[in-house]
Amino acid sequence: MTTRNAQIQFGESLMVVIVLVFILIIGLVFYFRVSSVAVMDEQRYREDIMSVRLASSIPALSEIQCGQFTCKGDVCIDRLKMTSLATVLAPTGAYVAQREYYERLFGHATIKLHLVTGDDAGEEFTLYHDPPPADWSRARQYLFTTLCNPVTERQELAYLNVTRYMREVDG
Amino acid sequence: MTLPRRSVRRGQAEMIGLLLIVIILVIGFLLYVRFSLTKDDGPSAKERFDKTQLGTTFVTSLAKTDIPCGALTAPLQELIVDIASGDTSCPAENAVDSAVTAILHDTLDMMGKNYLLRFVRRTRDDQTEPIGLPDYTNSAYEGRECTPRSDAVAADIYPVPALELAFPVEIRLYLCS
Repeated sequence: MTTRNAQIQFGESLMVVIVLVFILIIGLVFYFRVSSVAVMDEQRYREDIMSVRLASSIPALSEIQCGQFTCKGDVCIDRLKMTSLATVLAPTGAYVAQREYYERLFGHATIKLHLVTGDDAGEEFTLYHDPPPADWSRARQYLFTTLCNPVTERQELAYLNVTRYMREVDG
Repeated sequence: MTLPRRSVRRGQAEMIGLLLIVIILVIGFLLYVRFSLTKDDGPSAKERFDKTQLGTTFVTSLAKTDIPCGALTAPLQELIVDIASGDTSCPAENAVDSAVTAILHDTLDMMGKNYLLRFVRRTRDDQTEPIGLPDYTNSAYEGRECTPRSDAVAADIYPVPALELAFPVEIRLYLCS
């Protein structure tokens, strides 16, 4: 009779331990899931910020911004300066050191300028193109600007199409 | 028949054990519900930037874009001042209307944005009224029409610089989700 009681009590204790371990495992799984989601959110946020920083930095580059005497404007790109910079950034060009500098600045990205008005409406200039080595995800952003020809002093509406390539975030 | 005192105590202990397990499960469930409800489903940093910067840069650039009007070419903001002041040296209303329609077709319409673009003048009682140009929306957008009172609307206002006008003229762009 005492042996049978002891067996029952042992069985009960074993069940309690199993239930507690089960609850502990569920808790741990839940905790790690919440942590991994938070890490992924943080990574996405950082990628977003990097994309935003890249897109907003382009019109602010003094290399292509309009001058003080012609084509004044907060958001204005000088057509002649932009053409010169595109020549420097061309992958087949001779400006290797300069291109490396901009590759560090922009990373893997494609920056295009699409003309909306004027004689060249519908045309697209590729300012910078550095695709990733693999199939990465991409974040695209549009920013409007005016493209000014300092010779004619005409300002045409254009938009920057900035694509930033990012390593895929799992989940 | 009464149960022995030891059996009653043991039954009570088991009930407390069971209650503890139930409490732990309830706490776990509540935590799960809390985290799933408070998960931030709002716009991301990129979406917020898209909405604010796209509108701001659009109205600012549009105002400075040169538009052909008759034999002349002038920035859109100057033609708007002409319309608001009643100057008809060139058919500015037609020129601005056709230029803005074409621009919107090639930009915000093509990007699939839900928007409302207005050219207004402020009145004496701080209200606004149209200067004679129609309201522009994306007619191809399938969904609720964008109005200044829409949910999740981002408004960008460009005050047109014009000292000769008694009341300021504005270009207003509302971008809706």
